[in-house]
Amino acid sequence: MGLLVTIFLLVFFSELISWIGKPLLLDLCFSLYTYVFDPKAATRLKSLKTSILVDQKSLAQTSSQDQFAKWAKLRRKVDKGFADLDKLNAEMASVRSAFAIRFNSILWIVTNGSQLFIGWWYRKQAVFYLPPGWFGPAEWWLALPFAPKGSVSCGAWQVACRRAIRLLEGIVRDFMTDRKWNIFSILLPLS
Amino acid sequence: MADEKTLIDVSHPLPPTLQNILDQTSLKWIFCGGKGGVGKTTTSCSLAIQLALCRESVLLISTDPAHNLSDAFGQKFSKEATLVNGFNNLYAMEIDPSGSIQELIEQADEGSGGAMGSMMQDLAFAIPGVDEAMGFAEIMKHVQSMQYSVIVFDTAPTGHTLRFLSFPTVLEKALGKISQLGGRFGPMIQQMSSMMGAPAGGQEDMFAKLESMRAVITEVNAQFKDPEKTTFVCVCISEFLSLYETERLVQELTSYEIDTHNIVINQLLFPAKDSTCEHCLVRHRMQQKYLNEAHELYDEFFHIVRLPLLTEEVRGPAKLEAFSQMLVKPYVPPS
Repeated sequence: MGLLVTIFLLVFFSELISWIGKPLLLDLCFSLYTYVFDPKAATRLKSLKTSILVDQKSLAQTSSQDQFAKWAKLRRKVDKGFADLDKLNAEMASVRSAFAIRFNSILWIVTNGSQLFIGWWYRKQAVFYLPPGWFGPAEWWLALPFAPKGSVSCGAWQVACRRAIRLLEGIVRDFMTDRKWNIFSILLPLS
Repeated sequence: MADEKTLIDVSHPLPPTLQNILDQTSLKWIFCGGKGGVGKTTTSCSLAIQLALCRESVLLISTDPAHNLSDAFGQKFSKEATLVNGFNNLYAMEIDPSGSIQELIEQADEGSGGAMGSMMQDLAFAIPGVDEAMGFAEIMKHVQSMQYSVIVFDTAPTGHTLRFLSFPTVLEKALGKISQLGGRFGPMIQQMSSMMGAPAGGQEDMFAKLESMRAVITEVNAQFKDPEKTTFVCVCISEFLSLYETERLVQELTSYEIDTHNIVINQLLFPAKDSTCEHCLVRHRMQQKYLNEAHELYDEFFHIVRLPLLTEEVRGPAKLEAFSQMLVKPYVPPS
């Protein structure tokens, strides 16, 4: 019975992740990651942006003809700010791509990898037995690859769970769009 | 005119002369740059004259298509270094950088019956501005073999100049790629061209030429970025646009890592105290305003040299020599 529930939960989990969408999840986790491990980078970026905006505003308010020295100094500051911003953004992008590789591989191991592993590890075990004789020749297929005859194998159970969850998801989605009661309309203000 | 007084008495952290250039004997290349009409040629000629007094030999080169050296010295100069009348160690030459690539193409044409020449031509148009840069490199190569203790460039106006100076890096990369390709596809191209009936060896010759060009450019680039060997003198007048261009020039030079620590402010008016010339007074006030700004902006790192506007054209060796005195002894307006 434990195997049955475990496999169902695993399949449900991976479907849930694909339903949320990997990019969104990556965004969330990356902002969490920077918040926890490198809180300075985010604040630095933010303060740099605000200081550039402030300098740009005062640059616009300074007359280049009447106060050339002040104007030129501001101009240098703004140019330097932009150069720094480019550098910082490039740094962030490289950190992010490294994080994305790790995050995606971990996600793959947790979802697809674990499913493959369980399917292989319990390949000879039956998840549950079918009432004998009900399904005729299909029994042979349901027991693939190595489960005892007359039982449902891990692989077959995974396929069945995935199929059922997707069907259910489709039904729920249809229902929600019909009622113009989109789940996103609740979620959006929260985020 | 209270602010004028404070201006004259402004305390300079750096002396307002070009003496620092004369003293820095390691200098090999000196560029004079600025917008047109600010007195670049006068300044570079004066600087060359002053350098001739304390160096073994000085070469003055104009790369400006509108050659002014001949006018300034009242003597016709050509592509060959010519001794300036009245001096024994000051030489001058006038070159058109874009002419050099033409010669290269013609040379190649004569050498290998057209195939090479068209290839060079393709190359000259493939990378925009490469012709000028290669011409410039040719000049540098030529000049470097001539053993002058210092070379003063009277350069073309700002944008043009900067394009030259920024090229070494770009061109180095491009030529590196091409000679790499040459190594890889050389044999194939050779086979093709011999099939077409072109004489063998021509294309190898071209890659050898490119490779040597690249070596020259790398060398020149390294020298340019060495503040011990190269410096850039910015010439401007005390007006908004000129100052604006100078600021841009300084920023761009900094981004190319070319040393610059001298600014010459030219054509300053110093009307007599009891002058009734309205134009002069108004203009003087405006100049003082921008002069003030320039001091505020550049005093920290630059020698700011102030030169007066004379009542006569600075032409001929004698007048240039007199004018050049003001580069080392700050001009004091007659009171």
